[in-house]
Amino acid sequence: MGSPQDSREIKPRDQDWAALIKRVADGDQSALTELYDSTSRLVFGLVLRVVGDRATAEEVVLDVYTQVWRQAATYDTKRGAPLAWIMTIARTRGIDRLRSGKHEFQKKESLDSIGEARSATASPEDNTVMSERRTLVRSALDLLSAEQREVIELAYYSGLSHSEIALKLNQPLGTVKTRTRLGMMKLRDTLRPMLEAG
Amino acid sequence: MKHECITKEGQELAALYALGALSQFEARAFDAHLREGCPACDFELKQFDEVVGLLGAAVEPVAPSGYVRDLLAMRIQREGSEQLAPTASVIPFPEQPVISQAPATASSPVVRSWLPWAVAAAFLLAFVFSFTAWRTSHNAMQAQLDQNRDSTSVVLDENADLKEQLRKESAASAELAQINSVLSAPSARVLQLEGQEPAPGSSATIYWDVQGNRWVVTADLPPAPEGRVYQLWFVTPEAKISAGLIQPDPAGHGFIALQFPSDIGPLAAAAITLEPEGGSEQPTMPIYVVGNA
Repeated sequence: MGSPQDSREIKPRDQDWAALIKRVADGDQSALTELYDSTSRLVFGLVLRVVGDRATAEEVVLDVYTQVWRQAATYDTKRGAPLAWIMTIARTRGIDRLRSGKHEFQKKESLDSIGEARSATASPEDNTVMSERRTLVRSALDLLSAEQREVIELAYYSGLSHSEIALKLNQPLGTVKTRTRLGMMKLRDTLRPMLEAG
Repeated sequence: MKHECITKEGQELAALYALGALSQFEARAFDAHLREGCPACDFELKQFDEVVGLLGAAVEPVAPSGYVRDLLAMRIQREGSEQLAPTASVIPFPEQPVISQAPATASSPVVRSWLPWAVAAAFLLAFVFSFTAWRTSHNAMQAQLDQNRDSTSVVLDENADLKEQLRKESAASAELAQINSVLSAPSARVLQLEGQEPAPGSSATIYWDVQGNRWVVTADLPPAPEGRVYQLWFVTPEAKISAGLIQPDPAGHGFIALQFPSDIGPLAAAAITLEPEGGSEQPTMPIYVVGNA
């Protein structure tokens, strides 16, 4: 895993997305639809993981692509891969919604239902490149200690700050910071071939 | 602060920053540090940013319901028509060709007898006809434009209302998030500041994370007179320390979040005074709200 060959395979897909974002920036609505068709399952998967409730996640997905439509002109290929840009918007929007607190109470219950939703989805556009990428990132996460993974996931999916994580896990702040740093460094080292691709 | 190679602390800050897990104050400080120019931290952050960008790929893709796609198309179409409406006013009217053709033929030296008159008459007829046609289409277009403008202004008004509401809501939620963050600190304290003589109805609340030296201040004050500002003061046995200016919104609600050095000494009281624009070195009165720590 993580060989330079992987990164070469992943790159063309990024270029397609970058070209689509460029067309969206020019006001091409069909480009937005294309972009939606090829990325919405990834975006929805992430938002669902963050907010934990399908109906809310769908509202957030609408907001995500509306933001992509409005801000496509500000996307700069030099500052990151196109999918990372969209996923960042998705995560931020999802966490915003989570923080607004309306759906927090539903979270635990509906997290269990994600498994069912997963199995029900056929994946026509989930090509090998994306599943390859998923496998790589997952195995990188698997290499972390459970404690490191926990703090990174709490920050990433729940949008918690270090002090909130410390409070939640009942751990000293310094411990949380150290775990985050070590975990992120390990992820970076494992994912290095993919980073260089971006 | 600037360093040539990455320190453990810089690495920690960059990792937490990339994950969005720093407090707002720390994030701002790290921003400032990067702006000063620190290639080591900058490089570190870029890499961690990329790692965070990849984390989303670990999630199992799930298909949203089909109607989300339709809703999106509808929303974008609506946005598109809002954007197009103003450009309708620059549709060119068909008067240009009529005028430019007339002088070209009138100046022709070849025809001398009745022909010029006939030509002129023909052009006049053509002009009248075109003009009438233009007037009709112009009026129709004008009516359409007026209608567009009306509906645009309704949409714009609604848009402005929504934006205002959103702004307020996001300001309120930012404020709540800050308060919540301070209150979740183990050493949180809350100080109430009472309204004083100039405006007894005023009030302010200070949320204080004693260990973290973080403060969130909310205040309800009357609108500041022209050329005056509200200023927050922390009073210790040794000094009155300016803690920044408070700019209430039109409804009189003000909010600031700040981080203070821990060495200001024991806090005895806090107060908000009205000061000349730009603030003062020392409070010059009058005190609007005050409370003991």
